[in-house]
Amino acid sequence: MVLNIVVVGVGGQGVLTLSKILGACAVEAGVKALVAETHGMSQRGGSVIVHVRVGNDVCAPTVPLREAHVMIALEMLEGARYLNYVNPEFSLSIVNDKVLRPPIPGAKVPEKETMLKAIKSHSALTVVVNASEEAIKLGNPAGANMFMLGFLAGLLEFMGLSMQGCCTNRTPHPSADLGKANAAIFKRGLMEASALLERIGEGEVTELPWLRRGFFKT
Amino acid sequence: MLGNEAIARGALEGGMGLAAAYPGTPSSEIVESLLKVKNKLGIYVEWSVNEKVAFEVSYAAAISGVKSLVAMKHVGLNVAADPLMSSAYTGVRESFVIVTADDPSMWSSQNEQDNRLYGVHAYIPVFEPSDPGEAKELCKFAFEFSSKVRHPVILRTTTRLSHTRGPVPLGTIPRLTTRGEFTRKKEYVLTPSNARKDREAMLTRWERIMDEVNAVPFNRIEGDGKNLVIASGIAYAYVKEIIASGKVGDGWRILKLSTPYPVPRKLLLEATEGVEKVLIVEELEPVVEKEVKAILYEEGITVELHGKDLIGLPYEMSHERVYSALKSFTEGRKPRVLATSNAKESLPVPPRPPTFCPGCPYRPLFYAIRRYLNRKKLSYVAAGDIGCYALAHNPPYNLQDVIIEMGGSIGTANGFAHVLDSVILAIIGDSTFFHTGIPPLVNAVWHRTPIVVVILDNEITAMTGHQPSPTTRGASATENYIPLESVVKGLGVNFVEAIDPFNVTQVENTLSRAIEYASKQREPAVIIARRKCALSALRSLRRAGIKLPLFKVDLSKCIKCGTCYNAFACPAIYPDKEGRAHIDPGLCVGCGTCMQVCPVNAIVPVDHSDTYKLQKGLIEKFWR
Repeated sequence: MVLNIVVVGVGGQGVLTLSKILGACAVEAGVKALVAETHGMSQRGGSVIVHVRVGNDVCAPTVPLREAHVMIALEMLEGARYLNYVNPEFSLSIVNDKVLRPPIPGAKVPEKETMLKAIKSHSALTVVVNASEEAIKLGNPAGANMFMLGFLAGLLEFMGLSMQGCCTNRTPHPSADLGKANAAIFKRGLMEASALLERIGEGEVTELPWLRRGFFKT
Repeated sequence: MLGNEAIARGALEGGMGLAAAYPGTPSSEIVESLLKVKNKLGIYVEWSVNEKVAFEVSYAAAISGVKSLVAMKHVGLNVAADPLMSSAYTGVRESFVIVTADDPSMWSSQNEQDNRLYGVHAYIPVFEPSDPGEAKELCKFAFEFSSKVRHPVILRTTTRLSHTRGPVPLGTIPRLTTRGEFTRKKEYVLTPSNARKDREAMLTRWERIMDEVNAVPFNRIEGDGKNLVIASGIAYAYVKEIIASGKVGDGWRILKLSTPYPVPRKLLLEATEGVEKVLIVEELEPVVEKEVKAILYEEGITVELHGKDLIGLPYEMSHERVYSALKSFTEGRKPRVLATSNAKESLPVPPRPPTFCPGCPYRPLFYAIRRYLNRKKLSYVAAGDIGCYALAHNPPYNLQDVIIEMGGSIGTANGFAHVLDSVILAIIGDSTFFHTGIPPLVNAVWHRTPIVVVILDNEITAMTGHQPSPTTRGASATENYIPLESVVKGLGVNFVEAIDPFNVTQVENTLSRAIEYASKQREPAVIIARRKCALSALRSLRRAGIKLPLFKVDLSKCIKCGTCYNAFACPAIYPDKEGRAHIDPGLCVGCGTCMQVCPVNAIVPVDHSDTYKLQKGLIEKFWR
């Protein structure tokens, strides 16, 4: 059993930090995880994708095209960019309600609705979250990644990986205030995940074959 | 653990006493993690000024009996190629492991050369791991192997290995020998008569190495069937996963290789016994493929053999490529489309190339240079170099016309100046200047070449993750600060001026004088643009718990000219539908440079001006 996750966003949004903690916690919970990062040139405000693969059968570091179970998009344009990794049959896309315009003269960003429509049509289930907004409210304007980490930890915990304690220990705390803010943002994400899990199978919230208790036990 | 950290750990478990490197993606974290434990373990670890020096530092330790490692990115080995070739001639007294981190798909490099070929060229065995866990074990083994055969070895890693995190079981670190003993021997003095003897001795060692690789435990045969796949390095991970998935049927035998060069002959012959077809899966060049073809020919074995014809040559490995190759292989057809890049977009979205960070001192610098050149309508060539400033190649700055290698800016500027009548600018960073920028500047002084060199001094090697450089002030008690002015003046440059890149007017004025000086005096002029990398400044500000000033746009004044978001192009500034500028408080770092570029002074601090002045005074020292 392998869970394929792609984490996408803009360099500087904390895509690497999020993925690194996620991978470390999965390993600590006793499951193999590979996290393939992009560094250097691709990090400076550019488009970033990190591949996270969790499961003892994992050998190769990258997620095959159209085989991501989860796409975490810290930014919507980047979510729309990497749709070749998601699959309309089973993918869950968690999209931050945030658009960052590429700072290129005359750059034309598609309308939010257009991007969301594309993401929705490529995914089995799309959840839009206010990660950036919540992060600002809770005291770290750059903490959207902690929200997403909380969200993922909630999903993985439900699927049978004990994540919460490890993640709480590892959320960055460059200063006391930021540490507190990050912990609060993480918790907020965790709560959103629980809320989603409760709604699964109801109305517009499609059931996903892999999103079940004991995924990591079988 | 990151693949690179695993390599560092493996080196320690292998008994390493000294390491040297020049940073370069994807290799940097190897020596970075060794530096963290340097004092605790009492070993010697350094960032060297360039790869050639790092190689020599490490080589000297190895011929003095101290197990050593040198690490660099693939193109770094080009810089160190001279001592590399010689090191195989002399051999070593103790382990000498040369780590080369290759970058298939060019995630952060100017090319995707396959450094296994350096092994072929130099008679040095090449080891290649398939995942982070194996990287640790293989690195440790490489130390043992090198010590046994008294010969340097190359450990080749790639981006997807170096920058992949995975579980790595730890072993013990033995007592590390850090003091050596040098015994004078003719072998180390490559005068022609000694070199001839060394050449013969090397070929004798090579015979032994070709035999020893058969016993390397990381090379093995797995499974059984009539189809043989030979997979080297990370390609093995993809092959294993796809065969295990059952998507390509069964009947597969795999020869997993961790020594792509030399290919273990005995093991290969064992693997090919009774098979009908052979497929070689490896990233980039057909190194293993050519070896296998040669060996099979020598042994008189004829078997259907495929490799690059099915798997394709450029770019990194992927599930899709391996699947398509295995499918074509079993079905006996040519692949429909030879898999190349993974990048395909589903919705047309604008590209997002990497850009200068908010607060980066290079943004106002390039903005000012661009504005000056436009205003004066000057014909110019901007010779560029390797570093964050390479991003100035992109719009709106368009100020890197040639980027080929480290130090190439001043070197090519020398040539342009002799054949063109334009203003010739060379733009180079501080670390890159020390790396390979000094000889071409000496050349320019020597030959009175009229060029303007702009050295961007952010006091750190920024692009690769903030490793110290000779310009880093107060890095540690064991490192000196070398001010660029003293070096440049010492080389004989007469026009040397240091400026603050945050001051747009000062940049333009100084540039104007430097251009005039170079053209009138017919000799080089050097401008040093000095300000800390925004990421380092912000890190220390954050640690100090200092609140950053924020800025906003007075929308009643904004004339929608777009200067701030299109020409200055700070990622924190974006237009609304009407074209009025807005500042994103989540991205703005409070550098305040945008205030200078707004033609109508519409950008103002959010806080009251007195509070802002106080704040500015407080944060300024973190930026300098």
